[in-house]
Amino acid sequence: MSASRLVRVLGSAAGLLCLAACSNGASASSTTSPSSVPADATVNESFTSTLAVGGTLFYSFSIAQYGNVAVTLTGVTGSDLPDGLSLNVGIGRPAGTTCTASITVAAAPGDAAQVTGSYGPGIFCVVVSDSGMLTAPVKVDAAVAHS
Amino acid sequence: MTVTRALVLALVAAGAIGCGKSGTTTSPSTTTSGPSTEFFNGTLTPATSSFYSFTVTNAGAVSVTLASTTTAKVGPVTPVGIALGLGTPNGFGCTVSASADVTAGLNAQLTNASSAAGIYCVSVADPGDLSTDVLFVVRIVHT
Repeated sequence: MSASRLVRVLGSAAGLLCLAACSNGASASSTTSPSSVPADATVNESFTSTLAVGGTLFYSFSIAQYGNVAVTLTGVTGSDLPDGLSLNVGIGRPAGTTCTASITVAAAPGDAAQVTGSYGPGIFCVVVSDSGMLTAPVKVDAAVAHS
Repeated sequence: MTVTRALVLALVAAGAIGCGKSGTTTSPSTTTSGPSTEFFNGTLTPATSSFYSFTVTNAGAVSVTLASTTTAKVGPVTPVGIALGLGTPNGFGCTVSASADVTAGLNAQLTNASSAAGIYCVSVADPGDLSTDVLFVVRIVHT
């Protein structure tokens, strides 16, 4: 084998070795997303407050671990309730003097959760506000289930 | 023979350098930002309380200063005592873990040298001495 041919062969071999080594390195450094399954809601809290016309109220709670959260607007009572009343109900995080919601729905009171999601761990809040339908203050009953 | 051996060594060295470069890792750069300052201001009515939530992004020190108390938007500082608290939001309020009855000043009245990342709150409350509405400003410095 001539010297020049030997050089070409060795060069190709070295390149292949480098490619294999580098490929292995890339493979070794690849990452996989962690699988996280939300924990079941095992803590139930309920709260009652008065919501003013055009007002907002919020309730903070602490989630121990990433898990399912369900908020239920269980009741709205007052002296002058409009037909088909719904309130804005959301889940968020306390910030400043309010609760900054990441999700909000227009909810009529009922037994089934109106707002659900997976959150935590950390401190979160439920926010309830007048959707524009209130003509007088109302008493709001709500519950939040979380992990 | 000597030339061939030299070439082989050069190729291996070149390959090693090439691989070394492509496999080189650098430590992730960490961006350290300075502390954040937030202001909590409002009106405290006798026999009431109010609170303000903030997020500590990186573990570190938190300091809370009741910076001003006045009875009008423009006017001298009114030296009234206010119950100042630092804690975490809970229910409809702020569950305080440290508190003090203070008057407005330049130095922080409440500090926590090592707060973990998370959401905290500062509360102001009438300690029982207020006879009129008080406009307040609280400065919160945190990481």
